[in-house]
Amino acid sequence: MKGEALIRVEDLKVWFPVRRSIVDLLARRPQLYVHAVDGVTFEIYRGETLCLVGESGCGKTTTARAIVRLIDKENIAGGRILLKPSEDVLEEVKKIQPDAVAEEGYVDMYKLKGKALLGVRRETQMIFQDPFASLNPRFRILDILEEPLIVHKIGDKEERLEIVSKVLETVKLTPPEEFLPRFPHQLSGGQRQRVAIARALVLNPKILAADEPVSMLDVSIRAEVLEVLNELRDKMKMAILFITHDLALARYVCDRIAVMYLGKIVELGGADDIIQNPLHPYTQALINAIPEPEPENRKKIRKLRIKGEVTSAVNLPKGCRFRPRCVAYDENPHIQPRCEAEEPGLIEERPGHYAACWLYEKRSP
Amino acid sequence: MSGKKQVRESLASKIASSLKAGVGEVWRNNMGKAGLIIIVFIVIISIYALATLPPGLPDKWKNRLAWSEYPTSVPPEWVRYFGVPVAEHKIYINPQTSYSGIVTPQNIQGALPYYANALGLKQTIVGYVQVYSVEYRLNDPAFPTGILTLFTPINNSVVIVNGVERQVQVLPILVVQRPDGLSIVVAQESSALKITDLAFKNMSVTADLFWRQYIDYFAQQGVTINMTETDARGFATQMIFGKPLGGKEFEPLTGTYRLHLIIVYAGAHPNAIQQAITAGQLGFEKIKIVVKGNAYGISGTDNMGRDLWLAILYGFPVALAVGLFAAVASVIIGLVIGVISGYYGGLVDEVIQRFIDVLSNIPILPILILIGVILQEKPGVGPWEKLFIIIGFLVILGWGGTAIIVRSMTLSIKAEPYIDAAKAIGASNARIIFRHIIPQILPYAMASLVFSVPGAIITEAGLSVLGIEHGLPTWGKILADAQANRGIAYKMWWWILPPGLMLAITGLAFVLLGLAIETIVEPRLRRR
Ligand SMILES: Nc1ncnc2c1ncn2[C@@H]1O[C@H](COP(=O)(O)OP(=O)(O)OP(=O)(O)O)[C@@H](O)[C@H]1O
Ligand SMILES: [Mg+2]
Repeated sequence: MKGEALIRVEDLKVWFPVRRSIVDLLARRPQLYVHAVDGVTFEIYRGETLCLVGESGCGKTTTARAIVRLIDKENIAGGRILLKPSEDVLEEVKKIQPDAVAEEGYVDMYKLKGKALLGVRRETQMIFQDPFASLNPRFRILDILEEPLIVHKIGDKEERLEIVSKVLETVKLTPPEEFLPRFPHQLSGGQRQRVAIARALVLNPKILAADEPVSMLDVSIRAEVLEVLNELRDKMKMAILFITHDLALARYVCDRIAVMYLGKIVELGGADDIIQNPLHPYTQALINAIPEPEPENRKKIRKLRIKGEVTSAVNLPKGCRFRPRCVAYDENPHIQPRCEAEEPGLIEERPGHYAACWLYEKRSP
Repeated sequence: MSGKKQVRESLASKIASSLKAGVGEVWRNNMGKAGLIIIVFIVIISIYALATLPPGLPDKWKNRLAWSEYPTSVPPEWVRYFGVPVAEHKIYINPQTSYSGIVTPQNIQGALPYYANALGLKQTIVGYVQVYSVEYRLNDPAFPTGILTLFTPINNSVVIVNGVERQVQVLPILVVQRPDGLSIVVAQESSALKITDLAFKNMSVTADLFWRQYIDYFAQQGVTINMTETDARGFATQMIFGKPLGGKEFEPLTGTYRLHLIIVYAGAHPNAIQQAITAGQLGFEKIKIVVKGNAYGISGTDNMGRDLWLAILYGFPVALAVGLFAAVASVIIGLVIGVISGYYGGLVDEVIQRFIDVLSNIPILPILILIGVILQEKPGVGPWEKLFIIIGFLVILGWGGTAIIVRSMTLSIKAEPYIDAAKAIGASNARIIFRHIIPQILPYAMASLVFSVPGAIITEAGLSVLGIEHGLPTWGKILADAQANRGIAYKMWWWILPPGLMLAITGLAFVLLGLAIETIVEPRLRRR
């Protein structure tokens, strides 16, 4: 992909310790971890939307939270997240905390602290999955939208009101005066999610993580919220990480898609590429599960290209983590030893289209 | 632009409007309404008590001598409306003189006939005499419980006669003239005193003066009274205000009594004394005659004659202060520590939780008793200081419960996505705690505050009863005294019931209010 990467996630690992009982402690059993994100690498470019798809519990939300630094430092088990902030923020960080500046104008998200972190937070925002829970029920819309400005000491009362009103117009909640004094419970779900988007936009961020922003919304209002997001990306040249478990939606919204399975990206490529030519057996299974638009075809029972249940993220199998559920593994005895022995990395099968599967291992010369 | 401005509310108006809304909601709830009404009453009475009670009351309460003018162990006056015969408690200040002049054996019959014919007179009077007379009406068949005379002499006891200073001496005599015409000398100093020494004398009645003549007198009328001198001492007021029925039985004699306080001056020529008195150089600033009733005031008296109403009144502001201070302090501490524990988690949380475990396993009572004993030994500590030290320990040992609940609420609020949203914005921990978390917890904190008020009040009272005293006249102190005198107190309902009732009503009011607040903040509890 062209352009500069605004965010670079490098081999990110987020592990959550499993709470141990007294008995475990006394028996000196080792500390176990949920490998929520287990070695994820990707970049998002300016003006691009990258979709993160995958089934429930595969670590999508955790990845997004890691990007906006909502994950505690001690849960970052490895890797780093690099961010390209705007010039003035970068200068500020260089001044206050030079050790958090990585190469080529990037800052290391998890080295930042205090004022430097606060400055960088202006550049990264997140939209949460549940528009009913992500707005404080005791705050008026004005309070909700004004809070980021107050925290970052932007403008006086008048100016803040101006900014807030403008943002409300951006997300098509007009006239603003009508919405400002309301409480969240006085809004519809779609309106709330637009308020949540507005809050994320108030600070003019470069990077936006949108965690299933429409999954809780009625199908009828999904389109308008998605429209708002698409417009933003194009107008403001943002880098958006868009999380969904709906591949059809991903195709509509995204430039590229990353498919995640149990904390790892198993396939990464252009949206159309992935939908039309899925490489990884897991992606193939996902696409297989998309409901057929043609009513006739819908009646045909399709063979499920997956078996078994989701493996636990605590005790991962040796080798490929998808192996216990993989149909291709059963069908291709020649790669079985590879699958059992080693975890596959992302292999570039076609230009810009990667899959983590031994099926695509280049025969060595 | 002006339209947009209205959107903004000032913090003060926000607080005011939410308070108004809160009170409105409580008012709409029946329990809340009852609780609020009672609490408003308690507050009004407290203000009234603070405004009207003498500031020296706590000291006076401890001083046995300060209550000699009051009848001891008598019920409230309003028992008369329930058919109990009541002899009124009357205080006469600076009564009229009914006679002043020189008395000789020749003119005494004309001047002081009630004295000349009284039972129990010791000597005949010669000299300059002033008589202060009052009337006492006994309407109900009941015995008053005593008569007391108090003097405030002018600070001078000499007159100058022909250039020579002379000490003036006085002899006060109290004669009661009964409705049946009989007069009795009921009180008299055994010998003449320097007039200024009267300031230190309370003259009370004694049967020693008249008992023999009294028995003889009624024997002539055909009533045989069987009494020794010692017996008679216990029956003085019955004898004065009663008709003997024989044996040791008396029945109250209703009607109008005249009390004559005769002051006989000696030590100088009567004319010189008369002159000094007329010139205002000699005599009394104030004379007070008290006929002690068999009922007193709104709340009766205890065995020391103390007016229980004063302590009941005093108990209101003290109870409010104790309850509110202890509740507010322990809830604030619990709120802050609970939020910190829940919000920061980890080691901080662990340490705080273990500390609370330890704290809540410390037995409060033995510690408080220990502190009470230490305080009792310390001379320099005032009663209010003692009270607040006791409350302080209640607070220190009592915030744990709130902290545990607040912690668990904080944990669940902390997990709300809007807290994450605030963090993503860059909001500081302080901002998240004060703007996002505490406002959610505040209504619960209010409920638990209101609920912990009665506990504090009753614990304080309980400590008084156990002898951990701060010395203030409070409901607990009244009960403690009753407990110490339980031999007689069990017959004196007015000693035990009112403070007990006040404690119960105050507690009830706060519990009702607390229940109302709880149903508002937790609608699942709402009753129809
Ligand atoms: N704070 C946490 N502590 C412990 N485990 C966590 C925590 N957050 C997430 N996990 C675990 O990490 C794994 C990934 O969770 P995550 O929320 O990222 O999944 P997801 O892909 O967003 O799923 P969904 O589609 O259901 O939202 C899950 O097994 C989850 O239980
Ligand atoms: Mg999720």
